[in-house]
Amino acid sequence: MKSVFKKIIKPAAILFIICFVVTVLLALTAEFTDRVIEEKAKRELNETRKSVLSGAVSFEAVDGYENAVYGVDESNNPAGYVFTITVDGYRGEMQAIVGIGDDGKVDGVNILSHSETPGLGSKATEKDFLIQFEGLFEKAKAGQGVDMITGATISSEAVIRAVNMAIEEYISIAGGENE
Amino acid sequence: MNKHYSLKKEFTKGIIKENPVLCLLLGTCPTLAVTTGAINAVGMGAAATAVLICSNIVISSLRKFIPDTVRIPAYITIIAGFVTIVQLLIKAFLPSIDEALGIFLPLIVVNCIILGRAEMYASKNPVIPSAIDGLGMGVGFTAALLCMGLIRELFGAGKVFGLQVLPESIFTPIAVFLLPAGGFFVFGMLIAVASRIQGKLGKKDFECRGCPSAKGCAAIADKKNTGEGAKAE
Repeated sequence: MKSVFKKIIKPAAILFIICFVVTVLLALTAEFTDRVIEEKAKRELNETRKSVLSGAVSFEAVDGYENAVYGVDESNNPAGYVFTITVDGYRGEMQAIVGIGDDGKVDGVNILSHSETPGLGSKATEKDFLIQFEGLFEKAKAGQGVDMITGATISSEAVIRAVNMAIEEYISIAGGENE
Repeated sequence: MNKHYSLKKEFTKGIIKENPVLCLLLGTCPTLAVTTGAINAVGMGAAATAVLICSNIVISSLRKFIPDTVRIPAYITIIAGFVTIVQLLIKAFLPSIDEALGIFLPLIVVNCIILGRAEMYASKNPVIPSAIDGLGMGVGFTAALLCMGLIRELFGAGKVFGLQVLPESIFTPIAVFLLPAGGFFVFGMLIAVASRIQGKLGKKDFECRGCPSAKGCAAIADKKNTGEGAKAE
């Protein structure tokens, strides 16, 4: 009986204890880091939203529109809306974030993620191209007021589509003044 | 077994005489894979060193507690636990390093250096020397990775730590250095250099003693039986 205990039960028990302790430590670390990562993601999203809607300091959700958030400035005055739009780019999905101010004009556009061709399509995701959308009141049209990127037509059109979708949603929320 | 420990010796052996990568030839996989840039090399070295020290400390403190029959699963559980904790912390606080190292961060679990040192040293020696051994081996690993990383990055891209040191106008980067073949070239050269330095310091013949599987090796048992005498423990 003693040798069964020594040869089988004791090693198994010890291995069990070791695995148990390691698992507890892992669970605790995972909880802690999950929280850290979540807070960081929230902070980053807030910063990006602020970067496309000038004056906004905080955001609230909008009923019925899961892509949109309503922004207010420090005195709690309306600052506008920020829309997160997903479109199909040339090589995959593109996520754009569009801020439309209280005056109905596009305040800023930024691209959150994309997989466009580096050096070509990716130019449509950069500041020089995106700055053209600022001040837009009506939907953009390729070639009219918006210069396309040479050799990156599809990527450029994708960005235009994203901005227009944001404008459409704004009209639907704020009620048809832009047409 | 009251061995007299020289902590300085336990630390420095990991750097030149028994460098895990260039002399013991352990951990070659991450060495070749992450040394395309100096920064990645340092990141990997630091992460592996952290795991190595922690696992050596824990395994050494439990060495009388862990029965021989389950020692390998026990060591692996402990090592995997530490690697995962290091990975979670890096993901949370240094996400760029996490992206740069990619799959090779979790692969530290099977980095032979860690299991090797656990078997060869931590399971037979007290806590403080084991910790120092881990530190020395880790620093040696990082140093070897850093050398490889600097050479490959400099010749393969003209950069050092991401900064363009040799502009394209004077030096056309030799792309093969960033490819696996180039990695092997540089690795071979470094082993040769290390061998030479070892020779000048008085070469040690590791033979079976340096192998992590020495304890349960059938070939060593044979040698003992046929009375050829083994250099193994």
